[in-house]
Amino acid sequence: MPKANNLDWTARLVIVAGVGAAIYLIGVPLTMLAFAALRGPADFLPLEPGARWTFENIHALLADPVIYTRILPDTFVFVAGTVALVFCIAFVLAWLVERTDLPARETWFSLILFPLLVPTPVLAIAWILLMGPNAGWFNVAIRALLGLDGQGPINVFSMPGLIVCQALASTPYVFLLLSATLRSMDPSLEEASGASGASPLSTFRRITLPVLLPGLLAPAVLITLITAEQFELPLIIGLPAKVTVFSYRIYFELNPLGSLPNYGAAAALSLPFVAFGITLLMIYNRLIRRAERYVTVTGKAFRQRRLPLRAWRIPALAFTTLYVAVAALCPAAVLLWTSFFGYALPLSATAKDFSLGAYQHLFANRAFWIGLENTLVVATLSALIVTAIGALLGWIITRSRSRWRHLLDFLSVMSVGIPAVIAGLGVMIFYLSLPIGLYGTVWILVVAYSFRFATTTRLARAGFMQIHQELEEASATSGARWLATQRRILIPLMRPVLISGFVLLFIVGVREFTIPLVLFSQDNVVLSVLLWQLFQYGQPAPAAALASLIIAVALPVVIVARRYLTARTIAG
Amino acid sequence: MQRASQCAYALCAAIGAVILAAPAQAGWIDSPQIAQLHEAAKKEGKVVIWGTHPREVGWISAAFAKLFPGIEVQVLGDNDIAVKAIAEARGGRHEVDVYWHSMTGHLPVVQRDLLVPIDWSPFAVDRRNTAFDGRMGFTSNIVYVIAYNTKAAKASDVPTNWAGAVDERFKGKATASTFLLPRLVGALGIAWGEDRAFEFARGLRETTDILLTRAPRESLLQSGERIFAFGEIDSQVRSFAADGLPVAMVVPEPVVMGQFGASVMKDAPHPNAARLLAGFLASAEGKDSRRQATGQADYGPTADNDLARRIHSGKLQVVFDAADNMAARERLFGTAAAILTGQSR
Repeated sequence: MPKANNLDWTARLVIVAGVGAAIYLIGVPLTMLAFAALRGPADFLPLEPGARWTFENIHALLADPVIYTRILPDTFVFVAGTVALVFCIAFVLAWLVERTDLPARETWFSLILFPLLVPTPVLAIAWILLMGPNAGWFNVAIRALLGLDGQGPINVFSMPGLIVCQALASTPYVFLLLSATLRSMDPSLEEASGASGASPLSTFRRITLPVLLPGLLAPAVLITLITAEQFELPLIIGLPAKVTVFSYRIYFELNPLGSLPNYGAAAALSLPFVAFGITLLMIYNRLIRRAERYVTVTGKAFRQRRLPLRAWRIPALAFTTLYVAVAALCPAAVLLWTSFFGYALPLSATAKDFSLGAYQHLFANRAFWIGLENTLVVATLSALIVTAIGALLGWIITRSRSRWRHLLDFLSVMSVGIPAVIAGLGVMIFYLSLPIGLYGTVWILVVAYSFRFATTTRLARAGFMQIHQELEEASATSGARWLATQRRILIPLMRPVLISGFVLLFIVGVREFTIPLVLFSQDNVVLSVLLWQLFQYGQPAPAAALASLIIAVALPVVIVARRYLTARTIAG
Repeated sequence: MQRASQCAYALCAAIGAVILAAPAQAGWIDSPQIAQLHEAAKKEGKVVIWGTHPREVGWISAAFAKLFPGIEVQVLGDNDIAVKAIAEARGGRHEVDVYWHSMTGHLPVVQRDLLVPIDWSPFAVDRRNTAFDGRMGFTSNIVYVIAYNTKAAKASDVPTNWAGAVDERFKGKATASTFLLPRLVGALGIAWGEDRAFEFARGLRETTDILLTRAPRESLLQSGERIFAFGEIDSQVRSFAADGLPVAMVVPEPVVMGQFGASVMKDAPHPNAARLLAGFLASAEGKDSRRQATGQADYGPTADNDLARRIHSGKLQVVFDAADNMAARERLFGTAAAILTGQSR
């Protein structure tokens, strides 16, 4: 293992720059939040003349009964319900795709990832059209089939409706995590169970689930954290359903409809949220270390044999089809229909309602081209920055003996615990107070997006652990500098891992909605914000056309990325 | 009751007639003072205007260029421009030249002294059509209405007084905008008093179970997901109907009218172009262009149309935007927003 004094100056320079950048990118939002929470009065920027130190924001938060009677209970039910449902759906899907002889597994894998590609507001609006209690397509069909009158039976504007929609949207994340775990699990126990005459369901219940349980807890913590920070569906579906969760309240303080933003209140609200995130992440880190000790996930070679579904094939296909239909195919169909037929409904539409006008409108809109350019710039650069810094952190954590490496590891993992709305707020407050001309430009989005190091650090860590250190030592013995060793030996070997991380982050960057919504101006508008504006301001056909185009561009990326993701997905 | 209904329908007819009003007469455009201002504006090259909605500002570039070529007009339409303008001014970033908003939307920037008074007389703008000591020039008005799906309801199903909106018969059938409804409630608070207005807000939330959303309400109306939309804007409903949607509207009493206008930012990076654009928007020509492009009309004290005359006749209960009730309205709709979105009881 190299010690600090064995590293040449190029290594020290790169490490200092990378670690400094990581601390800056994660530290800015967190520090500004803590600072803003203790500054007042309301609606003053923390560094603005006239602002002063105060505990008013904390007091107001503690004294607000709505927090205890409405927001905390709603948040708890929303998070618990969503996590439970996501886990049920994602585990069954991952098990079917990775461990059984389900037909067309490659196709199912890509289709299950579909919600990952589509900006969440688009999915929300599609689900409203499908599951609206009065005129939702599903409800109309069910009422016609069963001869029912009135509303429902499905009501998207309810807590259960919100939970189901959030679960459908979050399933791909957990599916990716679980399919990686299930793929690398030695199948000998399942085979022994099958040979003893146990049914697939019995094998799953008695063998697969208990064996995998330790490895499932870490993703459970991660999805709890991700669900708690969700903001888009609570805004679009939760608000009409009178469900108020923590992240929406933070947004409300920033956009209070009737007055100016209360930065201090928003920051004060964010602090317990961040503390909750840090606690969960500490649990997560501990579980990860424990899970790594289990022999169910090994590097030992084994031949993958899939469990025959036999009579369960039809129910398995029905379950997978149902998920894909509700989460992917129906929203895609709604979007395509709306892009061509606008307001016309399927039962009443005629051929003359068909129009390409929405696409023409979109291509003639200057904001579309600006948004496209900005989206590609921001998604590409932020993915590059995060991949590079994440890889460097991964190298430091696996290769160095520095006592700070655990802190860096924690800092990296903690990045996933910062809700997007909080990251956007922190960056906004900091760069409004710092007159360097970054606010309002596309570069502030690049900076704001570039804080999620957890995934690439984890990927890089796993990758470096598989590359023996002898290669680096041989290179150094031959006189190569550290940078040359990285460039000629490690980076080529790590290329698949780095590309996996980049693609994942690029997709996240394309669909990111919350951060640009907080930070947007006429110069830095991105496609996800443009899409939301088109919907919000009564132009559903161009909005649907834009969503269809985003999907058409992103879907091939996922199919290509599938090769990398299946091989390398998320070690942690 | 019957008289109230007749009155509400007559108001709708009057609103419709506004569209057919005669175009304005030019006059001020050729004056040497304006020509000089135009030359100075051309040297600045561009002007940035922020408005509350892309539809409200999208038409301006082409209309302005017809009269004053050589100046690029950049537009941003968003509900939250007051927040952005103040945040950016505090951060020392000055990008916006012209600010277009309602009077209540002007109040926060006026209170923070971010606007500059301008002389509106070169643009033939009557003093009665300005506010905040000459900082804001009136451009147009909005009237809050109840829109309904004509395939699922008749005009007689729609309440002709806002108080009638809180009724079990609208349960699960009504929707409203998170942006517009609190503003309506705030204005009703001026007419009714705040206790009754907040009770009205709670009633909409609890009794009517109103679907409060930032998503487009016309889609919900058209699909039949909801039948009534409370607190919509007259010009928007008109444009949806013109697009072929099965929607119509009723204007309940008290008639709540919003006043919109343009102003120039104190630190505008293009001050001459900003004055020229704001003046154009407040002029008769600017108002006429807006009416043709968006259907949004002028019902102000000098407007020459039937609805304006009815509104100013003193026979209707009308809540006007006025400088002296702005602070109260802002406070009222802030609280109404918290009640309606469940952030307060």
